[in-house]
Amino acid sequence: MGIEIPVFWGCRAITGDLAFELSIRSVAEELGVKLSDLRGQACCGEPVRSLSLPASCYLALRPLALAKEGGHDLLFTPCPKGFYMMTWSLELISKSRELREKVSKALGAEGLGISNLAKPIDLMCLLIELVGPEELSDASGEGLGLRAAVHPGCYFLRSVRGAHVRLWELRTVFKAIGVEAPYYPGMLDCCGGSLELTRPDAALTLAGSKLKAALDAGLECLIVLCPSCFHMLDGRQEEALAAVGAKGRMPVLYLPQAIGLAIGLSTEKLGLQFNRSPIEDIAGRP
Amino acid sequence: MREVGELRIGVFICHCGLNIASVVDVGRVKEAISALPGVVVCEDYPYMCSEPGQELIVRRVREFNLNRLVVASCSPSMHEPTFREVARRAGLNPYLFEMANIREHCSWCHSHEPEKATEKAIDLVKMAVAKVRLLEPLEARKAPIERSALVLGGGIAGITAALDLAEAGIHVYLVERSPSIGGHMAMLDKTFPTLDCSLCILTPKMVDVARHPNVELLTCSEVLEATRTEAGFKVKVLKRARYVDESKCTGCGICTEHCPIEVPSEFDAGLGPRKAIYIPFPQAVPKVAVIDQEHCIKCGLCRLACEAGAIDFNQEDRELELQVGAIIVATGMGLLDVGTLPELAAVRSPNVITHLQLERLLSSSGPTGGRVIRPSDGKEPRSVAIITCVGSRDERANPYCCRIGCSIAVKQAFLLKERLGPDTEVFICFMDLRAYGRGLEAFYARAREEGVKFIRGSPSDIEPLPDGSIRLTVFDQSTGKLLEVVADLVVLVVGLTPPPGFKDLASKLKMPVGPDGFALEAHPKLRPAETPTKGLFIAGCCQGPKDIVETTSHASAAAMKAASMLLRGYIVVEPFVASVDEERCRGCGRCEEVCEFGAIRLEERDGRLVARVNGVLCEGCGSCAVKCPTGAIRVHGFTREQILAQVGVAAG
Amino acid sequence: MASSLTDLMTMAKPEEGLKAKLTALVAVKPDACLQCARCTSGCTAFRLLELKPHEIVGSARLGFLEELVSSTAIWDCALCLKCAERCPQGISAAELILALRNEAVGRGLEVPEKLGAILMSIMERGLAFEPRKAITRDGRAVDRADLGLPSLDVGLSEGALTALMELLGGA
Repeated sequence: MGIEIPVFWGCRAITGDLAFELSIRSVAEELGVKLSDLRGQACCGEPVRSLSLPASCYLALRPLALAKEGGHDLLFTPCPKGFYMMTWSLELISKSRELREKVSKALGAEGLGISNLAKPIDLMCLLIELVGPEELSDASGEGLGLRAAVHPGCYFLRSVRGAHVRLWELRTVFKAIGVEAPYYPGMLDCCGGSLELTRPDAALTLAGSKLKAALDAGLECLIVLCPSCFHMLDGRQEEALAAVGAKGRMPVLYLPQAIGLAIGLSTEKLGLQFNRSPIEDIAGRP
Repeated sequence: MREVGELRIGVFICHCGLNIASVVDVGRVKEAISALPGVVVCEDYPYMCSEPGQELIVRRVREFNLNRLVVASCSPSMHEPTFREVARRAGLNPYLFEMANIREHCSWCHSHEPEKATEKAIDLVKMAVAKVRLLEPLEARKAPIERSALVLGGGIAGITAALDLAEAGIHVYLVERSPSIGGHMAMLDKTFPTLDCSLCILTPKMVDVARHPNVELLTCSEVLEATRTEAGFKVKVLKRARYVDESKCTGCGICTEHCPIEVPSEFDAGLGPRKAIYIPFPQAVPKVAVIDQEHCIKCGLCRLACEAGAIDFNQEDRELELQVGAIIVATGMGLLDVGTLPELAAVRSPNVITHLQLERLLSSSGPTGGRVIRPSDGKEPRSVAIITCVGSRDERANPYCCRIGCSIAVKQAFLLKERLGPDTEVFICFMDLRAYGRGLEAFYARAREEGVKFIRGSPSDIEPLPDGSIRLTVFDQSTGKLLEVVADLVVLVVGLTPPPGFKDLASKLKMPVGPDGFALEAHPKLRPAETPTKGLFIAGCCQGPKDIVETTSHASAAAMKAASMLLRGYIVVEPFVASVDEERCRGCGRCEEVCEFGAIRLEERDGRLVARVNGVLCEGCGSCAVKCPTGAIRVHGFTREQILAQVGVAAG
Repeated sequence: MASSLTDLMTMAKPEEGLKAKLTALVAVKPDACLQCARCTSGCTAFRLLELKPHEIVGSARLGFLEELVSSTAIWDCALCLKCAERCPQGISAAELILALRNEAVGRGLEVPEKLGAILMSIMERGLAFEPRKAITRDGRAVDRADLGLPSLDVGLSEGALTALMELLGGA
């Protein structure tokens, strides 16, 4: 394939979400995408939004400037929140001259320019546009044969492109890897990830409701795209289910982990040892 | 043809109340213009277009023997015809008149800079004076027109317009794309607020129009091309083959019983099936079967079954050429596909239907014989939720209001209560309720009386549940409560759009459309049934969604406008057309290449080719004049000398 | 000139200046609001907490913003963006809420603890959280180096930190 792109990992991956990082690295490698780590990895600014929009905007665009400075036109940002921050910030500076000037000045402190920004791309763009559904399908052979509850997550779903496009992208990838992901009530609900910072109890209730919705639908596992969602639904699953008084357990996988399993990668390479939820049942496939 | 003698120019400056005078210093303009050579009279007046204003001009023309007239006032599109008429009344050739727009082009857009506005006004009037010096007397022409009309679209708008024209003695071609006339009105169960049975009031009209001696009905037909001619329009119509002989078919329907192919019925809005050979609905006009080529497998079972021997697989499409004097576009509207709205993007339930699909369920000639049932299991719903404004008043879809959605919702809610019984819960979730017009407020009150629950809030989550019901969550602003409605059936009142293919049709007819895609009327208040193009009229929803009474009023208005022109027998053609100096023309033909209207052609004269202009077809755009390498072509009223004189003044 | 409008519950008057400041960055101003309440109908936080986005936008529309800046409701928002996705006028109540939060922070009003901790962490190490070892299913603590993952260049340079502080300071 010969595609080489820098990657922006985001705080959760760097501070210990090895399931995310490992699965993405392994899947990318297997599909012929060479990843290089962006230098100067730092927070994308998402939690800083509540404190100062200009500051968060600066943090979001800084990685794009660093990527461009490193000679790259694209920056792969697999974390949906990071990707959202970048695309939203780009829109904000195009609409406000004052904000653009503030961020420009801040970037200038490191000799970076606001007119020299790489374009952010996300996991879907990588899978569908750069790799292609046919390649993915070929690599997946028979496919996983899984009936999963997909949790698109707010930041993947409500990004600038529009929900129906996003759902189509998911359907395309799932078809390629042999996963059935039917609609279930609650599919489009929020898991509470961004609420954890200000209202932790309510956030846990939301996560619990989400897990309950997947359990009620009788589906085999929950597939997520976002480290923040993974943290709530996988990392804090027991507490979340307790918060809503629900019984049962739900295996939670990252989408790249599901893809990795479909294309025949080992569980170690996909970081499945770091998933807290009961993934035993599906880890054996295919 | 230049007039010999002294130029005596009269300039009249209008205050337009305060519209001009509050910004432009009219006194200073008067002073500057009075000083110009040739200006014999320069006066101002508060309202030049008023009767005393006009009389002032007439008096001055006669008193001072004026032979050129300039009025500095509003836009020519407002009052150019008015002042030309004044000139004519005063005995002056109406084309020795020029207008300076010191309102729309000056006082209205430079209202914060009166100094500069006044300078500009002076320049604009000077430019008008410079041009008026060089104007020549011209004559408008009367061009005879063909006494026939084409009505495009056989819904209630087209039918009404066609009948009105036919009754006035005008020959009408009624062209309809689908196999039967009737349009959307034929799909409705009952009409608001009287609850008349829609087909009962429509079918007599359908039959009348089909039987009228002055109407030629062409169904399964579409316009391929339309070009202007001297006498109106030449229209190429494609009459698609039905593969059924209209003269033999009795409409008995036996063929449809034998056909093995079933596809979703367009007339039933996809809720029920039809066969590949079908009659669209029992009251179809013409009541003739048609074969859908796309799905027919040519098994021939219909041909075997047909006792009248009407099936003819060898039938071919035909192209007809019609010459008409006027065209009325009455192509109706379409429904917005709301599946791309984020809140509906994941919804794939058969129990979420559009308002048009509900009409089919309610209709006795519909797929369920008038029983309202849930498509998923055929059971009667115990609760129905109607959501208005789905894709209307929505920046993500149609920013405009669909106009009739609220009335439709109230009507359907009432009918549901009536059909399903008082124990069936019917909810309407609305943003605003706009049921206007005669009888609608009372109808709204009746619906409330009957127990329809009105919830003032727009639902966000629309979730199909495993048992087939749909869960809506809506914040009700009247009570401040977050409500959950679990409905067996959800009806979306979806946005209304121009019909499929309208953009292409508008382009073929050179008919302008508005930003919303609907046909653009000549004036939004005063001329809603006409387009800026002479001879082209609009009727019904093609100009914007509207209810039946608004449609029939609009259609009759269009018919009247068309009839007035056709019965008079001629149109007045303005003289701003190109003319060729045949001595300078060397017959290169570049003008003919560049003319979009086919108005200039090379013809033989004395053994050589020269260009000749057809004054009726010419639109005076000037492309030929620009293209002509020898400068042989000029456009009357916009000659090079006249324009350059204005430029000279403007450049100082 | 004082407005002719008064909120009789609080005797507050509308504040156009504050409204202009807080709506400076929003894509569509609250004046466009049709009050359809679809945002509240689908609001993730409203079911569990007190947040009514249509009321916040409605208040902002009329200029009653003071009460919102100091309210607790603005910290209830889950930032799920459903309001922005579904508003027929394209208004993002979430964006407005973020602007209100920024104003509260700028005035030194109380800020949820966790946000403060995240900011400190970013200042210290460029990341929102402290790096931790990951725990495997069978209880082992593992870090990137153990798995042979490349070490990353992480952190904000001095220049970046100074720039960030400046942006945070100028509320």
